[in-house]
Amino acid sequence: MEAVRQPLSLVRELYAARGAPADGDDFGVKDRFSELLADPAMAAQVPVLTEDTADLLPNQCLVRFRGMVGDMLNPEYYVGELQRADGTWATAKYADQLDEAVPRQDAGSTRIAERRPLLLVPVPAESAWAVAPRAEAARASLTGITGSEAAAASAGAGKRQRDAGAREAAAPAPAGPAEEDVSMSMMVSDATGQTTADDGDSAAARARQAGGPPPAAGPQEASSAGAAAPGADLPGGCCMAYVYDDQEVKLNDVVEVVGVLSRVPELAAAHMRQQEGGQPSSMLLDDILASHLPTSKAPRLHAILLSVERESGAAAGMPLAAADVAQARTRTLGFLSQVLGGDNLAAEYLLLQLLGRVHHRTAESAVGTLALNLVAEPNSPAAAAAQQLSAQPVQQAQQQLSALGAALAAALAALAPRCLALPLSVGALNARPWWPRRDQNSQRLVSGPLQLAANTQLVLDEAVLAAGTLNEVGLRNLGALHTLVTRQRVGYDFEYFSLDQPADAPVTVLSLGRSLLKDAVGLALPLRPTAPLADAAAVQAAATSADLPPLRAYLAAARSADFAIGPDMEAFLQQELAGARQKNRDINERTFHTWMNLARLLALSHGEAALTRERWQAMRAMEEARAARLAAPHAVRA
Amino acid sequence: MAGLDFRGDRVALEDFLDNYQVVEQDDSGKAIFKPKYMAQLQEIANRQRTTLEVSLDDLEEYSKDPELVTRLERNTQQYLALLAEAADNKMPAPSEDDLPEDVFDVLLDQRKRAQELTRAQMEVEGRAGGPGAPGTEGGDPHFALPPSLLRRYEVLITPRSKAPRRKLRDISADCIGSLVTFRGIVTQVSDVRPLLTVATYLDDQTGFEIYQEVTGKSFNPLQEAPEEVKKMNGGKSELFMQVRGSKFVKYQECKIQESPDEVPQGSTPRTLMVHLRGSLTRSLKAGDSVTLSGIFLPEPYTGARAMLRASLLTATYMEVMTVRQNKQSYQEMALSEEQRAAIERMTEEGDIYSRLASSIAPEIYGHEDVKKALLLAMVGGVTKVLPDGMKLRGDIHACLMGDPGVAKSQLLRYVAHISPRAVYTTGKGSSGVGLTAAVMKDPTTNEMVLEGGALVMADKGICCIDEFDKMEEGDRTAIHEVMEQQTVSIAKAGITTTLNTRTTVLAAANPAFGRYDVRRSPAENINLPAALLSRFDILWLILDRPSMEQDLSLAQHVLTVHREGRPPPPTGAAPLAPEMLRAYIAAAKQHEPFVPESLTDYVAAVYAEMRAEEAAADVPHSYTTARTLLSILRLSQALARLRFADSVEQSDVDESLRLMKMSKASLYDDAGAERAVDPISQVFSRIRQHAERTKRDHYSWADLLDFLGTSFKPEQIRQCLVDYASINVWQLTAADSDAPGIDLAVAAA
Repeated sequence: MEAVRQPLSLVRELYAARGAPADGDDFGVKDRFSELLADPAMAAQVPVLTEDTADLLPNQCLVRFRGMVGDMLNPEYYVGELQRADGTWATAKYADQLDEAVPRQDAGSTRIAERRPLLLVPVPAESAWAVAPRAEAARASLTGITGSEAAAASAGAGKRQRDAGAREAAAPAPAGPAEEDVSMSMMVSDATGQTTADDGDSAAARARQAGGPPPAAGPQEASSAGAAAPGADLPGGCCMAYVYDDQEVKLNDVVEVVGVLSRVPELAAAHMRQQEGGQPSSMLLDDILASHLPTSKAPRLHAILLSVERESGAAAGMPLAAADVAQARTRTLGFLSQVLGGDNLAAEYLLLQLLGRVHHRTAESAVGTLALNLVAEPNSPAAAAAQQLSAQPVQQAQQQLSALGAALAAALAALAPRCLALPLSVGALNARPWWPRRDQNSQRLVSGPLQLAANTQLVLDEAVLAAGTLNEVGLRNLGALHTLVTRQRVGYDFEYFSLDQPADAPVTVLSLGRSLLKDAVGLALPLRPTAPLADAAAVQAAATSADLPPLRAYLAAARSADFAIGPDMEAFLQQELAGARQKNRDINERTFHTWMNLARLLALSHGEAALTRERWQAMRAMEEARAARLAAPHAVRA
Repeated sequence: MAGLDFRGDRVALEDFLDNYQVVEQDDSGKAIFKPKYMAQLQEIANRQRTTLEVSLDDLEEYSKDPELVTRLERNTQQYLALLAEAADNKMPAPSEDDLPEDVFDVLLDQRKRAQELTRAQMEVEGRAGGPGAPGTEGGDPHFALPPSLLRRYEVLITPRSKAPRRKLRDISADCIGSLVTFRGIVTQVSDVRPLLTVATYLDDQTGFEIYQEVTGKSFNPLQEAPEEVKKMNGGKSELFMQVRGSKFVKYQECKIQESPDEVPQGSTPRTLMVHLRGSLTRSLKAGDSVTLSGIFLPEPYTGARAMLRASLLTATYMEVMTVRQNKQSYQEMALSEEQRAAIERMTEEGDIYSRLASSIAPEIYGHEDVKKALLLAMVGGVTKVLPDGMKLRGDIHACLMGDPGVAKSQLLRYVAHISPRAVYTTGKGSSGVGLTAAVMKDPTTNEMVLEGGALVMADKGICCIDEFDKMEEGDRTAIHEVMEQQTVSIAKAGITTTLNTRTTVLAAANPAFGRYDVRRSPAENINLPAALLSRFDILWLILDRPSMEQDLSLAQHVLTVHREGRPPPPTGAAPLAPEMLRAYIAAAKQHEPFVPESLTDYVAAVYAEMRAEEAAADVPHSYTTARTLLSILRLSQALARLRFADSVEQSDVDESLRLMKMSKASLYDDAGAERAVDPISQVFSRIRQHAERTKRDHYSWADLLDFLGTSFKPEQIRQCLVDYASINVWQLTAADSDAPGIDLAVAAA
């Protein structure tokens, strides 16, 4: 418990036990903490840091945080070790401040060390079913830290809740005194604490107002509202994590960090001074401020343990029985078919879409994902549903999806852990850049909707597209979507060059005719519903009533399963592909890739680890059915 | 201890400055020794230069203490001060008398006089022990004239040429204080500001000048004069800062971002703050790609940075010593030693031509000959200016025309990607400037300004134009001039000018009806005017024809990608990395091959043959004009360049003819036929053709290698000689040796 409450004293004990300057050596801290946390009872006591719990946690306690690496900042140099007047050494690792005087740096009694800051943001576009249990766990974890002083804590929490309410109204909340209840070793006067809270809170409120409820859906728009506020472009619930070792972390990785929470109210004060423009600033100072956000905006977290959430991690461990797979597959198909008005073929394709994963990359392309274009043909019931605007209340017109698009997004969100629906309307395309870019003033990456964690289903709703003029931003957005669909890469704009970052987001486009992205989207499938199409509310109702967890487990397992194409199949496939091309010259390399992907996903959806001739034939049959639909427009039959 | 070391090192540095000599050749070719740094110091004394540039290569070569340079690299800031002190001690008297006096001189002179006066006064007053007395002058730093105030130069250090270059990412805490060389892109540049280095104050009561040296970015101004001065005035003191008497240097902050090729996958580029002082200011512009060396320093905390103390943070920056702009074009590219060695190795391995060609867009399957043509376009021929002022361009223009989906655009994109100076655009052109140039109104100044289009931007480089057939009419007329005269003339909005567009044009176009229709004539299919077409040295038709063999290998390719996640390894040698390809082309471009007299008849015969063939055909597939002749020569020159040869040989001409023929090969149904023929038969047919054209009857091994060596391996040629000799087509001479020759006359007789 002591390790959770005051991890730094444990760190310093370990350092003292070493007795000599560590010189970059990790004096057994990682080992000790992973040992401690291996005990589930102990691990459960570590409170979870979220946007809601951030204010309740005492400073310098051990916390757990889960988020996506949204940006990687320049490494920082800090006084890592220092010699006291009596000749003993002290460590400053995992801390922002020391309660002893730091000697002058040139005296040779300090050692400079290095740490890497990572800006962790909440994982974008997470589905509600994935978020809810975590939020619950976060609330539950608080009892551990505040249990012993329940009275004080609950009082504090009560105050907090009132504060939260006040924040929603964008009124500066008197947060300072509440902080005192829970803080243990904060070295800050009430006065500075007060300004910190005010400053950060109003910024957060601004971001919230602009962003609307879907997590991380639109915080970028805050730039107009609160351009001056530091970190106003960030979504709520961010966290600045400092990594002390050279563990490999990549941009857009989802990571879980266990570390020491730290609040530095002086930072907010420094930002305030800067904004008032009291002194002529230097670029160096601007830089430092930009990378040190007020802790009310992004709490600082000194990472002791960091683990990267790998895709195949959780689900691969439990292979499903064949009967379960068959049942889950049928039920998933049924669910999707219901959404699509009984169109079984479309449901089949959509199921494969849910299993897409980039399993290999070449210099030019990515292998493993599909790009599906569901076409609601003119004069069909599907078109009617698509043309209707979604009944769901939305904050801004630009967020408006069509009814079918909203239903589709809801269905995918019910099954996939992450799903992002973007309306492809002229207004939304022109409104802001969708690709992430570095802001040269703040030196931070300004996120865009296309900055996504791996395994995010992307729904592009083209049904809301109307005639209009695309501006330069709109065109570049389309270009970025094109690269995402064809190569599964997003070009991040670093002003003088653009750096491609890998993405893994299967794209489903819903359009009324041929898609704008028709060059990129290989699989166009006209919808032929036989029953009325569901709307978003109905889908959500169906999702809550149906027993979906087994389906989610099935999809996750199938998605991450290993797959191979046996050598015996090679000659057969080669003949199949070349033969098809001999018959029809319109079948080209793209088609080959699409078929290989489809066949792989189809086999995976049946829980098979290798490609068989039967699945290949089934895939060809699906493709023929699709081709037949394309050849015979709906209007003729109706 | 450390102090002692420094003193010793200072003496060593003084000795170095004094005695280091460079060898130079005088006019008569005799080697003369010149003291390099004393010459610099003399110039400084004469006020002809303001920098002392010390090269560490020189110091390493001169110094008897091998550790000295290493120490200097580890603790550069300290040694810079030592070097400055050493230079001060060695500073010669100006050798010219009539140096103009500037404000600084006047001030200095007055200062010295005032000091002497006060000293004299004090002596008169019998206060020899007072401030400023000779014995105590050094005692108070505020009182003495600081050396940095007197210095009229700055010391800059050039790192050793073989010192390793770090990646920006690898600069870490252990580099603090040392000299680091790295590469990056300038993203932000601040204004140039004055930075105070020596503050001068005047005590208004006594008239004493007090000096304060400033080392950091900010300082606390002195409030009171030193005790001694105050005593003289009964403890009262009020200081006024003298702006005119203080010393300022120019100072600029810049932000350097990691080069895109050094950013690891899945990371964002890092940035580094650099400071430029004095003469180095304004040497960087935003967007420059530069190599910098400098001292990596922690920023001391003062004033506003107290916030940082609270967070234990140490801000760091780079104090720049040298700036080098990274070279962009082939002409300016300097090859490193390793690259030279690698090129050497490659030429020894042989078959360099095919290997280079297959390294262009290795992930695109097949198209060997197209890639060869693109390679030649990248290498280019020799530009010649005739005595009468007429210019013959050396750039090889190529046009790829073909069915959709045959990877034309990817090929173009790849070429644009690996060429050091290239612009990729589409005929439609996204900007209003278009391909050539436009006159625009500058929004801030309201003046008319000329803005170059893609072709102008690609001057001395390659301009890749996709969708060439969909080009705007205005651009299409302009491109005629661009392709032959290599200039673009503008007469718009009162601006009349001619801009250089010495670019190689690589175009890709679709046939008139989307797909190539073999039933129509080529002229109908290629919807470009003949005047434009004839300007392309090579027009490559890539038709998508049904071929089971090709489809099977395409299927194999796709399968491998899906099974193993990577394209199947290309047969033969591994493709070269883009940098290597670039280096090889740069090396090849240094040669200027000429067409020897002996070849003119041969080329003339070839040209006559082509004209005759064209006249004989019902539906000519090509337009053979005098331009074609020039194209053949250009292609041949490019081939000779690839061999690093200074003269064109017959084999080059043959290969360029073959390429020209292959460019139309996909038009004929027997397209694949030639490739299917085994190399031995190809060698034979080439020898036969050659003999017919030149009426020769004897070939030595060297002759054969000369005209076949580019396209075939020596073993293949040897095999061919042996095979055909065995059926009495010719007779071998020197059959047992490694280098057999052949005699045709005997066989014919």
